[in-house]
Amino acid sequence: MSDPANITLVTMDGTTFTVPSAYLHRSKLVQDWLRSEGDKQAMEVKHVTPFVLQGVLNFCEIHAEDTSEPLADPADPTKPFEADPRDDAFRGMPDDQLLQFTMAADILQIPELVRLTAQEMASRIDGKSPDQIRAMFNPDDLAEEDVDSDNEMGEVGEEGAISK
Amino acid sequence: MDSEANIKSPLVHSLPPEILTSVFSHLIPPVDSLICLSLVCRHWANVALSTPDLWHTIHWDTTNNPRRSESALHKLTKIHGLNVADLHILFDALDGLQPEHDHSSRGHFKIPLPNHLESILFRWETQTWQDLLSHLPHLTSLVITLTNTSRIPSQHRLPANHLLHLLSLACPALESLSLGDDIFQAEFLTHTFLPAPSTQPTPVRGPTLPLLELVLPRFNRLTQLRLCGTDTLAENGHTCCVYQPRLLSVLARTLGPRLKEFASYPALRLGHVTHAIEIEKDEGAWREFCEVCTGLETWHFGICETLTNAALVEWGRIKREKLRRLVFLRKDGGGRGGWRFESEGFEACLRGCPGLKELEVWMSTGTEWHATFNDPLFSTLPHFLPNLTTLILWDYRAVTPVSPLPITTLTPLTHLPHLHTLALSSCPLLLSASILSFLRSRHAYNTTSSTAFRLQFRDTAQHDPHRLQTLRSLAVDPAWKEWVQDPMVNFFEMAVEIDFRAGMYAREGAMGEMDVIVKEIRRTYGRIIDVRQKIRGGRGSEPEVVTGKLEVEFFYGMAGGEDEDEEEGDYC
Repeated sequence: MSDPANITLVTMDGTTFTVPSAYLHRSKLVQDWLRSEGDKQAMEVKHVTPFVLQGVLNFCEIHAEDTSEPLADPADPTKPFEADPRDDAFRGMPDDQLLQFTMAADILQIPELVRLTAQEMASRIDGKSPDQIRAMFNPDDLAEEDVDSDNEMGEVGEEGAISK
Repeated sequence: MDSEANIKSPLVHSLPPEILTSVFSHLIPPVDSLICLSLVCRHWANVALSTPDLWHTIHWDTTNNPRRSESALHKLTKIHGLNVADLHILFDALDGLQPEHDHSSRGHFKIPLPNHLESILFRWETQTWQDLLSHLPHLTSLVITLTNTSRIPSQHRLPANHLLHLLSLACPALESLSLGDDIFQAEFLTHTFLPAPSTQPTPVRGPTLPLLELVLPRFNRLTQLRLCGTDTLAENGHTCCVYQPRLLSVLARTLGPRLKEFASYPALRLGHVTHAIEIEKDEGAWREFCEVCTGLETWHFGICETLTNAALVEWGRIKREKLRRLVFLRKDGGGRGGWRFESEGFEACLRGCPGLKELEVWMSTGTEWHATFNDPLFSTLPHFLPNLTTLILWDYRAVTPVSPLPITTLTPLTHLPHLHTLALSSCPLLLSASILSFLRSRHAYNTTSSTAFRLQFRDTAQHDPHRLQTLRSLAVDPAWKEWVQDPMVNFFEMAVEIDFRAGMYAREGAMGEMDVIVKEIRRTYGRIIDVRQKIRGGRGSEPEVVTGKLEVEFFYGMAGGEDEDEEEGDYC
């Protein structure tokens, strides 16, 4: 049985990270795993690279002793977002990395990190054109059929979609 | 590790819907962004258009959006109307007249084409608006702000009464209605709600009083009502005139205790129009309003054309526990009579507002009531208004300063622990030593960046020794230098501004005098203080004046110690 005070996470390429379990008390995925499969040696975190997981664990360590109520819904409008200077590293990262952290926060189900990355993404795309947004996030990977180029500056159509 | 950062970056269109919803929910105003984001890819469009919660608020801003037509809004409400609670329409008629949204070929110039009716976005067609509103049964807040509406032909303007009638039937859940919403926006209802060509002698611009009396009871939840520029011409203002004491009775009887805010702002360009209520014409209506409307949270005394001690005593007779903001705004001209209250009436008024947080007095005319704000009155503020956060006594006319306020000390304000904003002007008897002493006293309260204190102080006196006395003191008094350079004082902003009007700059000696002050401040404080000088030309009979303003925003704390201090380090 693994040490209950620590937890070991294994990334997509087999890299392991062992950290105090208390760091991840806001991760619903980890908490569920500890309850159901806590006797196993390590928890696999597929689809997350070591670089991203390291960043996520840094976030968790920084906020490990926070006493605020856990956030139930990252999009809850009744809980206004307040920038925390401790999270400046997340606000300064490149767009594609931010996207990866957003996905990782969702996979690990850490609402506070989801809100942080979502808010940062929102601030970056706010006021930009669709083309600019595509250019920010992996334009080469965007499949042609996913872009409705005819709809630029279109109106709201009958079905609520955008049409010329 | 960095090389791993770019391994298998997720695609922008592969983000799970719940993540996208979270991202979209942070965008303000939502609808502009949502429509733009739905063009990024089909996945984003599906999420943006199929998530009801994202359509709770629609900000329909036509500025530089040629496609934001009335019919487009109509279509949008047909689809998402059931989820819309907050609708804010910002409409600029000129934008609707632009032939194309193409900055590269046409630059930013707006090209008015008044004859091309098909290019007008909002036509105020009754049928369209009736349909539009019918899709908004859960609407709780409606704000319509329009500019440049004079270019809209009269046949495309919606009568105010008709709009209110439609609203009252289609949107019974409305809690807040704001028509206009900008005190400096003159032409909104004046033109938009004009039912007939402006050549007719008796145009009715806003909703009439009988209509308000009829429709307000239908809004069972209405608590906030703002009207801008609504009224009839004074010379014809008989039964149509909305600003008369009977309006107070209507508000009392139809909205009563649930009325939280009623605001009315005049159309500035129409000096002959009355926008205020002559209380003395029906004191019973004022009494009824004061007794019944006890739920007020914000009240603007500006609409009360004639304000006396008796009226304020009547107001203060009933405790208004919920009142948080009280505004006195008395404009130049256009009105009959004036305010004639004294300290006695003002004290009585404040005594009735124990929870007040913001007290604003915007002065431009009426010397009698200016004298009301004196030392004895200041000494009562900590007793009557212990929760005060904002105190503004400001002469907003820079050209011809009003008579001065006879205040000599700020000591009473040192007992207001929550105070974070103080703006004073035209106080020649208030020595800068008293101001500095007051700023030092904030050491007990304003100790973090979130509780920073903001002071604006303006000298308007034109004769020595009071002319620019605060800036002079700042330039030469070592006590100011000691305070500014105190490491415990952390500045967000510290600036001085000297404003020359109408030839004062060219006066013999004026330049040299001001130069000495500016040079000394720059020499003593370097870049800590931002020094600005404005020179403006005069018009007609405007007097030659020079005014000086000091702006400070700061908090006390040891820089570089705690996290918060580090955050503010750049400002120090």
